[in-house]
Amino acid sequence: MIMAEPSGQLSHTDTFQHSVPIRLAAYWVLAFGALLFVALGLYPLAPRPILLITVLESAVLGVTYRRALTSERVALGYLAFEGICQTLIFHFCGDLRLGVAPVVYTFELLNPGVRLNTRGHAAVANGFAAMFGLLVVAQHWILGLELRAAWPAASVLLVFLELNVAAFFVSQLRHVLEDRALALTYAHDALRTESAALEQRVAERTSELERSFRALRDQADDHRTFVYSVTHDLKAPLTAIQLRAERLRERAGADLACESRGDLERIISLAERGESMLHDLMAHFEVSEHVEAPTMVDLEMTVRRAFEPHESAAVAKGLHVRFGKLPIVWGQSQKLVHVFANLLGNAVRFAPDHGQIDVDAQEDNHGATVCVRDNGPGIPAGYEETIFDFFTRAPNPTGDTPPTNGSTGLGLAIARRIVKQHRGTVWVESVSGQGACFYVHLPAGPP
Amino acid sequence: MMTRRVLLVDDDREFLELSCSVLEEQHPEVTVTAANSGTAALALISEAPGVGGQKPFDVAILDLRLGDMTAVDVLRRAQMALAGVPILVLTQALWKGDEAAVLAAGATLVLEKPSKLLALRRLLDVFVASGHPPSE
Repeated sequence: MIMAEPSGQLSHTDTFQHSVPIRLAAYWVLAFGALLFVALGLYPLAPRPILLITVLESAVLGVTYRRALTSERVALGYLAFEGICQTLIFHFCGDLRLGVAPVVYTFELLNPGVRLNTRGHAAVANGFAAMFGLLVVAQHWILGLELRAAWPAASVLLVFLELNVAAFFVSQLRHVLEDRALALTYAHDALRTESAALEQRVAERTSELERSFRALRDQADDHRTFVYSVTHDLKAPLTAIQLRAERLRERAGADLACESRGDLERIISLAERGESMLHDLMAHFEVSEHVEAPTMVDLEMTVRRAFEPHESAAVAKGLHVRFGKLPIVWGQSQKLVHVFANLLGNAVRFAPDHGQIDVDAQEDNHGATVCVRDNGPGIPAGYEETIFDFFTRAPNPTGDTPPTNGSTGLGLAIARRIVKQHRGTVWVESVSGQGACFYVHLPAGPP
Repeated sequence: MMTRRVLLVDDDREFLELSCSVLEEQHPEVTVTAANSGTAALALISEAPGVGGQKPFDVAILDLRLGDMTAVDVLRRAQMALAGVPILVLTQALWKGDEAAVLAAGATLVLEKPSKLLALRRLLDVFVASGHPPSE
């Protein structure tokens, strides 16, 4: 039952202290009860000495009771004293021999009974005492003595029985409470240890996560700085190449042979292109790296704002543009404008004259999917994924060199980057020659 | 007419050389002084002879990033010396945030750095020609 030593102090005498006054009171009641019993003349045949001895016995019991329950010596001493009293009583009753017997028996049996009691086997002791009390009473009755003469013995035995019972209860209670207190203390200790261990683990984990977060954030900062400085550093020599080449063309262009002139023109145009790519990269990078606080975004407004810069081109081509009902999503407002500006720009650019552009949306449990559809040449089969790569443009339907319409092939890559930041996806479904539909799926709720 | 004094500041040596060369070709009447860093620019500004209430330079063209500091730092430190001088700041990428701060520091105009020869020529023409003649 008891598994470990308690770490706290448990005082078993506490429970003892609690029950002793009650028991003590009970014994005094008994003692005076007996006295009363006798005084009221219910014991007419008893000579005065018996009366006195009975009172004396009870008084002594009351006084030594507390000690008797915890000290064997005191208990045995009391028994001895009680034995003497019994002897005297029976002497006054007229038969010394008979008086001795119960004393001897009592002494013999209750001695181990007391021993047993202090070791928690009081039930057995009580059994003996009870049995023995009955035996004594029976013996006297059988021997023809007045039953009432046997009263002192019986009463004292009964009193002693109660002593045992009380001691038994107390010891059992003590054990039970000890066990419970131990178990409780043990449980408390275990809980405290667990709690401390848990707190420790949580603290470790938190600092781990903090470290990871700091590392990631530093990495992101490094990355951003890297891209920024690399693009700037690259731009300077490209600009210089372009300017010098142009100057060369100015000064010596007319003197050059046709092929050399052609090479020079090529150099200039390549430098221009490189520059333009860097410029686009820097502009797009600025947008996608810019930290925006997410909010509820009304996509209808987003799409309208995104379309504004392309409106004049759409009008010039006589395009028919229709916006369907669009949902509200959670995201970074400016960046979403950028995404749709790119998709709509592409649609306007690739739609044929008097073509059609539709923007629709579908909502479901996971979020919303917006579709930007045009009826232009579409994407050739196999290029649906590569067009989202950096600096990659969709080839002509014939699969030849990419169209030189000024785009550097960055728009879709950045659009995908932004959509990914929103934990969404963007993809295209297209049949070559029958237009293309770009889908943007944005999850519902805060990312 | 007095010789116009132009200060060009850029940490990109290539561009600096090219701009000087183009400017000297186009405007032989102009004296061009070049500085390769912010520190050098500040040194030149403080050393330049200023007769009476004359300014150290008539026109200044600076790149935004100068390696050791930015054009904004130079303008702030040379605020007194360059007061009233037309100042052009060129930047690689025209981000909105930068522009306001640069103008507030005392620049007259902020433009994107030209990568076409023609644009560079026009820019230098207009800006060098627009400088006010030094006051007497």
